[in-house]
This record gives sequence, C-alpha cells and structure tokens, in this order.
Amino acid sequence: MREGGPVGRRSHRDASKPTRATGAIRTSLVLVVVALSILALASVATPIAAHAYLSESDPANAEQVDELPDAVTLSFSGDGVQVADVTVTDPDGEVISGDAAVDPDDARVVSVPLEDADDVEGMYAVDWEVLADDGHTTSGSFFFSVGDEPLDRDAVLESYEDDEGPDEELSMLAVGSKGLVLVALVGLVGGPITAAVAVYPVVRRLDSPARPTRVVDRRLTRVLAGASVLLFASALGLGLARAASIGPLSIETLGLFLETPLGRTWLVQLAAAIALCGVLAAAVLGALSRRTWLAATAFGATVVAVTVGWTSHSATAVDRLQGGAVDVAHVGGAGLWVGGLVVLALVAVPALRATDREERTAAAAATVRRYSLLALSGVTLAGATGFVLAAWHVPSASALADTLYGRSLSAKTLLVLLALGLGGLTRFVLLRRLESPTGSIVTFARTVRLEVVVLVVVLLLSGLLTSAPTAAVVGGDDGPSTAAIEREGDDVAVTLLAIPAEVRSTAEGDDRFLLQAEEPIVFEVAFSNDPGGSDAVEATAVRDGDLLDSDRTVRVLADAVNGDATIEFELEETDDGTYATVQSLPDDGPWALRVTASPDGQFVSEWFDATVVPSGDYDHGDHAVEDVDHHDDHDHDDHQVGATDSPFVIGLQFGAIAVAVVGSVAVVLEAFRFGRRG
Amino acid sequence: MSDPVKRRRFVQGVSGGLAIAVAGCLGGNGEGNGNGNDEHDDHGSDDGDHDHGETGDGEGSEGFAYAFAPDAVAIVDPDEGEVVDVLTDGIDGRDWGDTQITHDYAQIFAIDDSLNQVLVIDTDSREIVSEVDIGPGATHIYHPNDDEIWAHADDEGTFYVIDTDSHDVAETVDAGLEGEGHGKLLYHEDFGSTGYATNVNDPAVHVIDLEAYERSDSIELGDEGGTHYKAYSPQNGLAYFEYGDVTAVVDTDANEIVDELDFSGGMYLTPDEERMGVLDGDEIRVLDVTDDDNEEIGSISIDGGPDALRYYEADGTLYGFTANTMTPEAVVVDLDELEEVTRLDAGDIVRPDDAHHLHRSGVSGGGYFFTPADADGTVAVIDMTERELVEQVEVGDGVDTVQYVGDSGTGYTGRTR
Repeated sequence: MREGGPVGRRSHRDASKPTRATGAIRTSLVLVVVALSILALASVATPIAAHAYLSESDPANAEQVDELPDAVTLSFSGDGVQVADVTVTDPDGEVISGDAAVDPDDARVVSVPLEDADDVEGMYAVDWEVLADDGHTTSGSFFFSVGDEPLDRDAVLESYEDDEGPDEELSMLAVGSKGLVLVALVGLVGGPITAAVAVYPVVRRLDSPARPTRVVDRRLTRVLAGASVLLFASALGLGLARAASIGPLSIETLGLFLETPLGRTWLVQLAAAIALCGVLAAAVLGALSRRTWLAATAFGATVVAVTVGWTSHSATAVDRLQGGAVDVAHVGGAGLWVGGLVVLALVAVPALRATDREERTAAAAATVRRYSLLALSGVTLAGATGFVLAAWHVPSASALADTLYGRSLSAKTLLVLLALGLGGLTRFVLLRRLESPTGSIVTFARTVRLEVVVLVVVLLLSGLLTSAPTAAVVGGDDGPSTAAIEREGDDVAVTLLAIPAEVRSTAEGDDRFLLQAEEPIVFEVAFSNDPGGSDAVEATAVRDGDLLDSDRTVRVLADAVNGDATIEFELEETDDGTYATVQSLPDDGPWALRVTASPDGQFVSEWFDATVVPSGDYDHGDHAVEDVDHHDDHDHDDHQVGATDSPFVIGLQFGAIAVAVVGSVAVVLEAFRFGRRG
Repeated sequence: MSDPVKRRRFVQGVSGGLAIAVAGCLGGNGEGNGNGNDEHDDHGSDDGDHDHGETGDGEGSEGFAYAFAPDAVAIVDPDEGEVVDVLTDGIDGRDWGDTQITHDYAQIFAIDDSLNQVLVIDTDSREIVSEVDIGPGATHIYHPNDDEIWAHADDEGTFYVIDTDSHDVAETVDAGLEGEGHGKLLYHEDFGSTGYATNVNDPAVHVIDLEAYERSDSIELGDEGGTHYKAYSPQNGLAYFEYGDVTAVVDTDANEIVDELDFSGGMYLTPDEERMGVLDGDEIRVLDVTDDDNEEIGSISIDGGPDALRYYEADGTLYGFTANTMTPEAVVVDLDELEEVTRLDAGDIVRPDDAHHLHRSGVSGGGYFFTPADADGTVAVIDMTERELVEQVEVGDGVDTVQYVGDSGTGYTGRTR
C-alpha cells in the first residue's frame, strides 16, 4: 500500500504507538464483546417462563361442569392484559356474558360474569380478544359444556375450526409504523456512535479546503434530525394504531388507551422522540456543540429503544427484564451495523467526495476499517440476540413456514445474509481496492448504498415481525389437523381418524397417533371392504369411499400403556357413514387404542398406537415420539410448557452461543489488526 | 381378533361391588366350566409387558390348580399345598372373569374384563399364548364342543365364539333380546346342536342353534324380569331356569314349560345326576331330579352365605363343600343326612360396602376343594376325603379365580361340560 496522503502518513508514523482513539475503540469493543457474550449465554441458559396466550381457564377448554358457573376466568401467560373483550354464548346462541374485567391484582387474569341464565345444558362458546402488554391483539375461543351429555362431534369440530389462535391479520398502519420506528431508531442509535468512532476521527485529520468536518456536521445533523422526525411520526402512528385496536379511534378511546401501561409507555416514547427532534433541530441550527448533540441523540435513542424493548414480544412473553434487555441489545446491535452504514452512505461518502482523490480513498479506507470494527460488533450482538429471540418465539422448524412470524423471520434472515455478503464484499474486497493506488470510492459507495437498502427492507420486515403474533403463540396451526391410520383385516379395512392429531412414524416404521392430553379429540372410525389401499388413508378418501355399517356398537378401548387409565367409549354413526365420538385422554405417554365392531356382521378388533403429549406441548411439534414413549415415569403434573425444548430450539440456542463466541473472536482479531495498523 | 401377546397393557380397576351387583350371581352355574367361578368381584390396576416364555418350564400342569390374581397366576400343587410356578409376565391389574379349560386340559381360556379379552394359557408350557379381543362386560365362558369356546359379553348380550385352535373370534351370536344383559349358556350332549341361553334382561329362555350360530327361538316365561341360573338333569330330561323368585322347568324335547318351582337360586347337580342342590339364600334345597316330580328331599341351612356347591363321595357318603361369603369358612355338609358336618378355615373375601350380592368361587378336582380368599390373597386347599384344610396357599392380593387342570367333576358328570 502506498503511503500517499496525510492519513496514510499519520498511520505509518504512529504504527508502533496506537493513538488514543484507537485505544479507546479497542477497549470499547472488548467491552462490547464481553457484554455480548454474557448476555447471550445468560439468555440462552434461562428457560422461557411463558408465552403470551391463554394458558388456562375456568371452566377449562372442553370441561364438563354440572352447573353453569357464575363467571368464566381466563388466565393468560406473559405479563398481562391491557384490555379484554370476552363473549360467552349459551347453547341457544344467546350471549350471557357481562363486561370482562382485568384483575387489578394480576393483569394476567380476566374474568367475565355470566348472567343468571336457565342453566341450559349443552356447549357454551367463549370468544375472547385481548390487547396484550406488547401492544398486540390476540384472540381465540374455547368451549365448555354443562351437564353430562357427551360432547357433540360437529360442535367440537366447529369449535376447532373457529379456534385459529391469535389473529394473524395485522393493521398495516401498525406494521408500517413499527417498521419506520425501527428504521429511525437504528439510525439514531448507531449514527452518533459511528460518527464519533469512525467518521470524525478520520475527517478531522483531513487537510482539505472543503472542510469535510463541517460537511459531516451539516449532513449528519440533518440526517439525524430527519430520523428523529420519522421516529416521532411513526411512533405517533403506532400508538394510534394500538389505540384503535380497543375501539373506533376517538378521544375516548385514546383516553382509555393512555390509562393502560402500554399507553403510558407510548407517552414516554413520544416525549423522547420530541426531545430528540428538539435537540437535533438545535444542532442543525448550530446551537449545540457537536459533543452535546451526539451524546443527547444517543441517549434519547436509547430511551426510545428501551420503551420498544419494554413492550416487545420478549418482554411480555418471556420476562420483562430479560426479554426487554435482549430486545434492546438486538436493536443496539442493529444500530451499530445499520445505523453506522447509513452514516457511511449518507454522510461520510458525500463528505469525502469533497476531498481530493488521494485523500478521499485513504480516508474512505480508514473509515471503513473503523466502521468494520463497529459493524462486526453490531452483527455479533444482533446475530446472537436474534438467535435467542428466535429460540423463544419459534418452537419448531415447521413454524418458520407455517406462520406469518416464521415467514417474516425467514425472509429477514435471508436478507440479512445478503447484507452480510455485501458487507463482506466491502470489507475484504473493496477495502483492498480502496487502499490500492487505483482505488475508487464509486464502487464502494454503490455497494454501501445497496447494503443500506437491503437493511432498510430488513428493518421494515422487522416491523412486520414484531407486530405479528409469535410462532410460539400461533403454533403454525391453521385449524384442526386430521390424522388417519388404516388397519387391514382379511376382508375389512378399519380406519381410525383422530382430530386434532398427527401421525408420526416410529423408528421401526410403525405409524402412531400424536395426541394432546386432556384435549377433546374427535375419534372417527370407518370400515371399508377394500383392503390394500393406501397406508395413509385421508379423511376425505374415507368419507368418499364405500363404507360398511357395523351390526353392533362400535367401541374404542383406550389403554394407557404405562399409565393408570383404561377408557372405553362408544361411537355414534354419523351422516357420513362413519362412527364418531369426542373423548379426551387424561394422561400423557404411550396409549393403545382398540376398535371393535362388526362391519357387515363380521367381528373386527384392531389396535392402534398413540403417543399422548402433555397439554400445551402439542404445538411444539418436534416432539420425538420415542422420547415420549420412553418417559415411563414422566410426571405431567410437573410439566411446564416449553420446559422441554425441541431440537430446533436447542439448535437455535447453540446458534446464539456460536455466533457470540465466533463473533467475539472475530471482533478481537479485527481490533488487534486495527491496533497494529495504528 | 386374536392378538398375539405382545403389548404392554395397563388396566384400571373398578369397584368390586359393582361387578358383583351386575352379575347378581350367588353361586356357580352348576353346569359348567370347572372353575365354579361364575362371577367376579376383583379389580385392580397396573400394567405389564406380555413377554412370555420365561415363566413356563414345560413340565405340564395336570393335577395342579391355576389361581388367578390381578398381578399373577399361581400354579398350585394341592398335594403339597404350595405354589410350584407363577406366571407374571403380561399379568398386571387383570380383572378376571370365568376360566374354562378345554376338553383335553391343554388350554385354559380366561376372561379378562379389564381389556375385554380372553387370555389363552397353554397348560403344558404354562404360558399365555394369546389374547383374544371380545366384546365388553364378559363374565361367563363355556366349552359346548371341542373346537369352540363361547364367552358371553354382557354389555352386548352376545356370545363370542372363539376357535380353540386359531384363537380367532369365529362367530358372534346375539342371544339377548335387548342387545345387553348378563347371560349364561346351558349345554349338554343330550341337546345335540342346541343350547339354551339365559339373560337377566329377558323374561325368556333363548334357544341357541350352536351350529348356525344364532338364536333360533325363545321360550317366553313372562312379561318382565329375566332369567339367570340354569341346570339340566339328564335323568328326567328337564332343564331348570331361574326366573325371578321361581324356577321354570322346561322340557328340552318340546322346549315347553312343564313346571315351576317356587324357589330359585344357583343349581348344582350331584355326580350321580339323581339329586340337585339349589342354593336358596342360606338354605340348600335338595331335589330329586330323576323324574318329572322334582320332589324336594329336604334342605340344609348353612349360616354364613354359602356359595359354589361342590360334591365328593367318600366312605359311601355324598358330601357337599361350599365356600361362605359372609364368614371366612368353607362348610362341609352331608347330603345323605342333610346336615352340616364341619367348618374349615378358608380365608376371607373382600366385601365392598356397595355390593348387593357377594360371590365366592369354589372348585373341586383331584379330591381337593379350592376356594380363593381375595382379601387374604390366599387359596384354601381342602382335602375332600379327609374333609380337612391342607393349606391356605399364599398367591397374591385379589386372587379370586381357580381353575383345576384335570377332571374337576364339573357339571358333576366328570366332564368339562
């Protein structure tokens, strides 16, 4: 590398003696790495405590009670409910519920009184919708029954169809506003730091008549001021969108929203955004020293980041402090990377263009080297915390494709990888060219701008990601799944269907049902005289086929292989020609299900195997069948939802650790290399 | 239908009293199956792995008694008064109903009500060789011909006909009129291919075509009530059916009612087929069944709730052995003098508070009388010749069924049916 310009000469002169700035960078980066590692490891080591969805109710889902209770109580996991709307409908279709109330002593508990109805026997539907602490509206439904009549199959199926979990339909205003909040925020978080660490130390050394330092001041204050205005506007839009989820937007609704902790947090957010606008307006006018507005901007942005983290999925669904801290760290990491990149693209490059060519390329290279250290730290921080967040909110690999949250995360991840590729290109290819005698800033500038565009899209996707219910809540369940296993006799094929259920294959290749304990399951049996068909008979095929009538009662005997229960239940003939009933299995573990009947007068008895997972674990779809079967002494009473992480989640946790460790090593190496260059 | 023994099963018990009340039987069927065990009041729960072949030693079982407890089947040597082998694999929490040994004593078919199955035990290898799925609520089991076992599923009022070779359910026979009800089967070689079925829900005796596997006719006894105990006397060709408080007497040639006795209960034909004891509460009424008069010879009053009457002739005297339900005793009576001879310790049975009727099985064979005591977990082995207790053999809690391997005098003609 030719030592041509002032920057190069200064670097050469001080090669054996690091500058004060370089030492500070190194020290700060080491601290960032240490903090990152501790954060990542602590986050991974702590299991999640809950998810933000209905955890239990009284009466419970599908519970049969003797008499209509005075009230229905819903208990939510997470840190609380802001506003709740609960409707209870009796078997006659009449709404019998009063106004729902959030327990003042425990915001996770909502109760709704029931009118003194006639205690009609039958199924009661409970439809609920709540505005959670994270500002997201979730909804769902369940049912219970009064009296001892067996649950009606069609009613249960209808209930499952209706119970699609949290609503994935989002307010575009909320999504867009949240995305813009994040765009503005990362700029305000990373901009001042990048300017202080990577831009000003370089341009201050330039001896150019263009006075690049002033150019940087002017452009940076304007960019940050624009970001602060964007932050205020988008935060305002986000709050209004959340208020609108309570009811039609009005002064009254807004007042109601402001009475909630979420509304009060919004006020803090707006106040911080306004303060930022004021500070940066003053900076644009030159009324504040550079040090002052840089520090004030970083501080104000941090305050807003804390409010965002405080109302994040993680804070409400995992732990207010831990979840919020990880979320803030994630935003901070993104700020170092993306915010710094924005400063490079919109501030540093135009400023350097005002210098002569020799100085320009050398200064650009020096800026990139300094920024790379920050960016690497930011990527490590954002990557490690991103893995932690994914481990909390995405329970299985299938959820990546099955849920809006998962799809958004997948798209975001792909774009991040693209941006990382561009960043690598800048660091390892373009930087070398910049430092060559024929180096040009043009390609470098274009690449940086492209990377900025990609990352802005990433941030907008993050707006969607943080607005959608997490995959852990949605569970990737679009409705009840039907599972069917066929057993072929000499003349009659017996097909047992279970809803909701899945069919899993054991290591030996045998099919068995995967069911959830204590959940109402529709068992349906079909008989046909067409043995030899597909091993996996679909429900539709069964219903479309020629089915045989049974001359005697169709029964299912369910036997808990390692448990303490044997249940026998009778099935009723349906209009489809099948035989069905609704039954829940009380204990988790392996079960044997036997169907007996006499289709066409011929007695048949067929056994089916099933694995029943603890209540609440069904959505964690990566349960290994063998794992459950081998836990003979499994005590489901002690089982906590999520206590048993799926292999996918464990992989994500290891990913977080790996990124933290590898990233930390890379940062240290980069810092060491940077220090040697002086 | 026949389930090769391979599954791990768990059985949940239900209260003992319930089964007793449903069965409503106070004594053995006097006709039948060699176990003298027509109703069962044991229940338990546990699971087990049916991995057989480890317990059997292939030494055969002739002259031994199989004692069935929820968690084990013990093979008892009555001569020594001790357990010589125990089957435990796959036997956990079973809820035994009747057992039935085949004509060649090669297999024991045992009803397990916990999983609605009939377990098949090979008496030579002493192994459970098959589990046969049947309908629910089975209690009684019969062996009307060499090739078939008939088990009655009370919840369906249906006989499940099991092939003794393949262990498959070959046929089902709907006997009850209402598709349910506790039922029994009366069969004798004099009937040819005909059998008679009782059902506690039907005021009739059903004529069963054993070859066509169908109910061919019903002999109406009234408008309500049901039929239960049954017996047959080859000497007069009459069949006896408990119908409420009376006993209907049916001519098996014409399938017509020819008489009615004004008492009822479990009926037990003596080995010489000339007398029949009827357990009418605490009284044993002894009838002369050599002709159509059905003259009552006399009666013996036994304090303590007698059940399961078995006979044995010694020193020119016909003795009766019965197990008491209300006292921990077996009682020996002289059928010639119509008097009680002695009482022997037999262990105690479980008496659930909600039980309306108590039952205690009794089995004879090889000169011994066996009666299980489920509360004590023992089986009393009584020497019928000496009329003294040999041993109260420890088997296991809940033991309530015994099957002798050999000529048990069942039906009191020396045959298995």
